[in-house]
Amino acid sequence: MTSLARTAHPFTTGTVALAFTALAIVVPAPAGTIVLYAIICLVAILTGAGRGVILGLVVVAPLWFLLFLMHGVLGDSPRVPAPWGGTLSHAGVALAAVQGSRLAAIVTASLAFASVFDPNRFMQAAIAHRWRFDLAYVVVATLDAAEQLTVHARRLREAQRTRGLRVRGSLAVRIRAVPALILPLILASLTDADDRTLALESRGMTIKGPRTAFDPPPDTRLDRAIRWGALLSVVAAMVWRVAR
Amino acid sequence: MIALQNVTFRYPAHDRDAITDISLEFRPGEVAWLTGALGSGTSTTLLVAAGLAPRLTGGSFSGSVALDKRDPALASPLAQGIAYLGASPVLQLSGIARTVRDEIAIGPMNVGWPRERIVEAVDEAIDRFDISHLAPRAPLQLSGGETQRVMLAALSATRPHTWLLDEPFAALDHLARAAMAELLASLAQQGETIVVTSDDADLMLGLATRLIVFEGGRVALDGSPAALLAGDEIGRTGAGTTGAATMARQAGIAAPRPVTTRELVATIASPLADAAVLHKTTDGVAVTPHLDAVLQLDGVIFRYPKGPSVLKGITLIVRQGESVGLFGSNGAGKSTLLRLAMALEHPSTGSVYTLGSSTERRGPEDFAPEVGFLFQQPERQLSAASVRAECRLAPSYAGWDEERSASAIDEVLHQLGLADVAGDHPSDLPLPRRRLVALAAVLVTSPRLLLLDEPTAGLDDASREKVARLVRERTAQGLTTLAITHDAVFAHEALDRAVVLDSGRVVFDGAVRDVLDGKQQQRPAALEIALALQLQVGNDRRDNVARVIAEIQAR
Amino acid sequence: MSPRLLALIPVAVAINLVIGRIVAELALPVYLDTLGTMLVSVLAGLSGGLLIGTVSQVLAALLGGYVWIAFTPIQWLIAVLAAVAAMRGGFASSRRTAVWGVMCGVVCGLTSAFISYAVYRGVSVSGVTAVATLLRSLGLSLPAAVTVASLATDVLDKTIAFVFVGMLLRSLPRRILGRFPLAARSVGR
Repeated sequence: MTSLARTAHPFTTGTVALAFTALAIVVPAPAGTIVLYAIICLVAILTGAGRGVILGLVVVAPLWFLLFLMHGVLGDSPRVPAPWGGTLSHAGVALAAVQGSRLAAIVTASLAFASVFDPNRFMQAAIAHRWRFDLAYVVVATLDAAEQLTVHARRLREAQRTRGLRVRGSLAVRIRAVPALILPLILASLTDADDRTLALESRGMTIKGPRTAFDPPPDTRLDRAIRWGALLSVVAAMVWRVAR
Repeated sequence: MIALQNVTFRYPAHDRDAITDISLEFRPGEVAWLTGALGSGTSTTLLVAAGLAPRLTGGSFSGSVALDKRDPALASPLAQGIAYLGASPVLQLSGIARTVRDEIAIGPMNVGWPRERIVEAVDEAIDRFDISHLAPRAPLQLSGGETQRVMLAALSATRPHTWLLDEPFAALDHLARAAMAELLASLAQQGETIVVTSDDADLMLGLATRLIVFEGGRVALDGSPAALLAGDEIGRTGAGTTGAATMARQAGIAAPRPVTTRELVATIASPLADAAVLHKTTDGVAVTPHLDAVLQLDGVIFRYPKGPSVLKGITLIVRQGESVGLFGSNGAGKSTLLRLAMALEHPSTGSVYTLGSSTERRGPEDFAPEVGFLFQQPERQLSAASVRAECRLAPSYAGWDEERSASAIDEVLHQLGLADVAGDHPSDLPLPRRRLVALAAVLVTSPRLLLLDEPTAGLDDASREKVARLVRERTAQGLTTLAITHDAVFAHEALDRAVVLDSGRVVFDGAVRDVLDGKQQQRPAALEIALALQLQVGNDRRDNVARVIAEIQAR
Repeated sequence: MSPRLLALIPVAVAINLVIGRIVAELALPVYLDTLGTMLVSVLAGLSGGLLIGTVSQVLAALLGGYVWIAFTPIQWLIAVLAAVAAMRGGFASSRRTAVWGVMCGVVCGLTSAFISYAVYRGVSVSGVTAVATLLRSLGLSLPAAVTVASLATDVLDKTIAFVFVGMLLRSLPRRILGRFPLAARSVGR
């Protein structure tokens, strides 16, 4: 069962996420942004990107807490009494609400997008729409490189451990492990990059073009409608905000 | 046709030319085999022929290269029908393919073929290279050998007419090598040009139509593989020859020597020989029985999280002084067993005792330096800036003092022929030597138990010889070895006992020679010799056979 | 784009992303998530460093929340400082490297503080913010708390990062050093 977010054209999900981000900046906070956050969560859950909501909460909850502390509890006067007996800064709480809801909206929109982002589909879409191949390649290859690097890091860690490096224990032990783990990793990556230059050339990555997308994601009318809708809603919000 | 004319090339920041005054022509339908001692210029020649050097590598270049009269350096090799495959398979992956099928489609995609043609080409490539079982898999999760196959398939998709392959067999086991060789032969029959660098003389003898031996950056020999392998000159250049020719030379037979087992056997057909040889070569395999189990697995079941059982109940004891070979097809659980022994993994059920201690709740650092572990593709685990520094890691973690480390390091480097590069950066060395460095680093602390995963993969004859000799010498001093290998020659030079795994269970546990030849009967001398060549159990046994051959010749 | 850049960018950006993660796993109070930017700036020149920094920040935003895009100028500053340090042989010894690292930390810390205050009202990345909140509770004003917190974390992080980059540059194999003349200069050769 594939969700709407995953079957939609990659550009569509990207446009929607960007539009939500733009709206979060434009609409008045905190009322507008809180409503927007709710809408984003709803849309994410309904379209199958619900994981982004949870990830968003993980990122944003500590920030909410810190915002409350920094501005609400430790903020400037005028202060109002708090339910537990102390005082809270009135302006501070308001600011925390504004920042908190705005951050929540933006972070959730982007994490929801990230959770359904498929690099290969994106690449196929970019090729089909004749975008600059090398830029699209860089984005996708980086994600792949990060995965390869993580695997490599794990192997290096194992190799070092088999020689006797300790990685668990006191802070001092862990600190001493850092150079042994990351220096050879970076060095090996740079050397690999050297070999890869030849490989990329021999696989034809630098050929000027045009390329064929052998598996392009379908770009339906609904996709286009959604993209236009997203764009128009941002423009409308901006106009409305200026007119106020 | 690719023609190199008076090509001299030097890499940037190097003080010697990599190749000097090379003039060669590679023609359609030919399988040209380039070989030579390490660093002799074979890989560089391929890079130049592909138009990749100096365009991408930098460096100084003189001479000319022509691909059907045009300069191949003007465009990507792919666009010109050249398939170039570098030595390390995993680095050749595109980085933008989710499945193997997509990986194969990358080439045709890049040259802009229409969609239907791409689909057709991909299906054909998958068929041709027999990888339909790999098609839906993620490229990063394949083994080295599988990646190699996939890469060749991917390059074939755009129907190149010229194949330039740098050590294409290095990561393959002997069955896969034979299959790959067959494939290359059929490509040549279809009129494609194949140029291969390889150290596997026995394999290439059956495949190559032309042998070009390099020495110090120049072409030293160029001619028929059979003729050159039989002669003396090839040995003088530092390049290796077939096992049969090597043994023949050892037996004192003059050039031109037999190059295949069959030929060698034919030279000593004599009824008198039978009795003498049989007597000399059926020495018992010496396994020192000790009560101390160096490695013990008790009813071990192992499965990766969310995966099926890889090991389904292994009970195994390895005693001190044994040299055990671990055999089995890919996926049988060999690497897992080794990792369990080193406490890199822990059994789901059952227990593992290494050097008498349970591996439960322990990590590999708790067993170092008494236990040494060599990973597959060990060059991807090198950490230090010099060979010596790499070797110093384990002793320094173990708290050895400078003097003790230095002398141990010197000894190991000397034994593996690395003394001359002790101060070099491992990345500056060719791949086979880098692998030896990894092995040296493991051996420095003289571990009591040695766990090796494909220790001779990618090594040339001479290096393999050194490794085998080192293992044997240390075994005599009490070392216990457990080695995963597909290398028949190494197995029989250095290992006594064979444990065969199939689908996670031990299906055979006995003498190593029985694994590879499968029979256990009285054999006539000729066959005995043939086996001794293929198996070469113990160098002293091989010396025996060679001596006997010499005796027979003298009569 | 040249094949060299095409091969280098993904690796360098991955270095930024993955090393940061590894360090976080070891639960240490630094980030070390800009090593890739520094290295490329030294190896491939300032424009390479700027490119890596931008791509890194964009990808980090893509994967972790667009919000942090506002910190992209920090990556640019790092790229610039690394390139300048390289041109003046700043990576020749650990001591010199540490000095340049501290300078980078100060510049980045002040800029971070400004961005954090102006755009995020002092609440951005959890770690730094926690320190800032602590300082605020001790009586410092918001701008002061944010500035001190940012300076402290960035000076520590960038100094260590520079030292690591120096160690790396000084132990590069010959064939890599040969490709990048600026790298040779950065370690004083």
